[in-house]
Amino acid sequence: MSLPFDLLHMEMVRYGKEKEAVARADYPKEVLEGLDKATSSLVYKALASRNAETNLESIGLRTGFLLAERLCRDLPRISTELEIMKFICKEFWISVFGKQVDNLRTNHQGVYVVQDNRFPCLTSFSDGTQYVKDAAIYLCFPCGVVRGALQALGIQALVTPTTDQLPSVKFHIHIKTKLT
Amino acid sequence: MINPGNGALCISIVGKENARLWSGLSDDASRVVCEVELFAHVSLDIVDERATKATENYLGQVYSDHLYKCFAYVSSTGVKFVLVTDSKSQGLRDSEMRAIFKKLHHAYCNAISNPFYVVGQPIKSKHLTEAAKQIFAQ
Repeated sequence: MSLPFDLLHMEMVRYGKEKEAVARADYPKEVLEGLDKATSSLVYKALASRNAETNLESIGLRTGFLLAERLCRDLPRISTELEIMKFICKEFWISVFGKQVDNLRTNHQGVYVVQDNRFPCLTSFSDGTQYVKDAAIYLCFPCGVVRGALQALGIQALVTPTTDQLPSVKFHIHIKTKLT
Repeated sequence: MINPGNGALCISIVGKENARLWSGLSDDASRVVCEVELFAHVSLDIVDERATKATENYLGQVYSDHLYKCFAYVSSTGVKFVLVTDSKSQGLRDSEMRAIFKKLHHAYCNAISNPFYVVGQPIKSKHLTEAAKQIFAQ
């Protein structure tokens, strides 16, 4: 079963990859030529603003920002950090990913771990550990969405996904600064 | 300057970092544009102060002088909506104000959903202009 969004998301990922391939063709060859592997990987990192992951993440950022504005419109005021995280895990997650998160943990020092045991962007992969690497790029957009929503609500955070076994994902949210 | 409606003169939307995003003026305010806009701007300090303690989005009347009154609403995302009315107008109850701000927030959401809009820049939007026109005409 695929939601229309999943189909769109697959195309977005494909487009992102294509765009990256085009951008790679533009990379300054004279710089990259004759470099050893370690240095050239560093140069690629410096050019990362044009890769597919960054691109998808920034689309997600904008989307999350708007969605958060739209969703909290009809809810009572959300102000504390914990309330914001609850909003993300309940209302926001339900309306974006169609279900509640399965687990939320925190160390009370600005690190939250959100666990989703059946993440909708990964349901088209077969379960297990076989495709974990290929699935990584499918988590960039959702990460951006979560980061954008947090930013809209006044929290600067670093969101990183980890997955050991599909389709379960853990999002690590490191809160950097709370804008007030 | 007594007008028969609700006396709304100016609506302005201000971002979280106090960047002015959008403002609309009623026809009655056309002669006192600077004054009204200045009033809206001045009341932002009080809006900030109230917003930290607020338990709901609608903040009520935040500031007034002998000419104008100012009502405010802050969304959970920190966007401030300020409505300046004539101080002589009586016909604005809290429930009506809530409805007005809800409508504005709705229009604002639609306006920023425009994919060509860059977040944080001043907004140009038909939705907002229409909503404001309706509010001024009430």
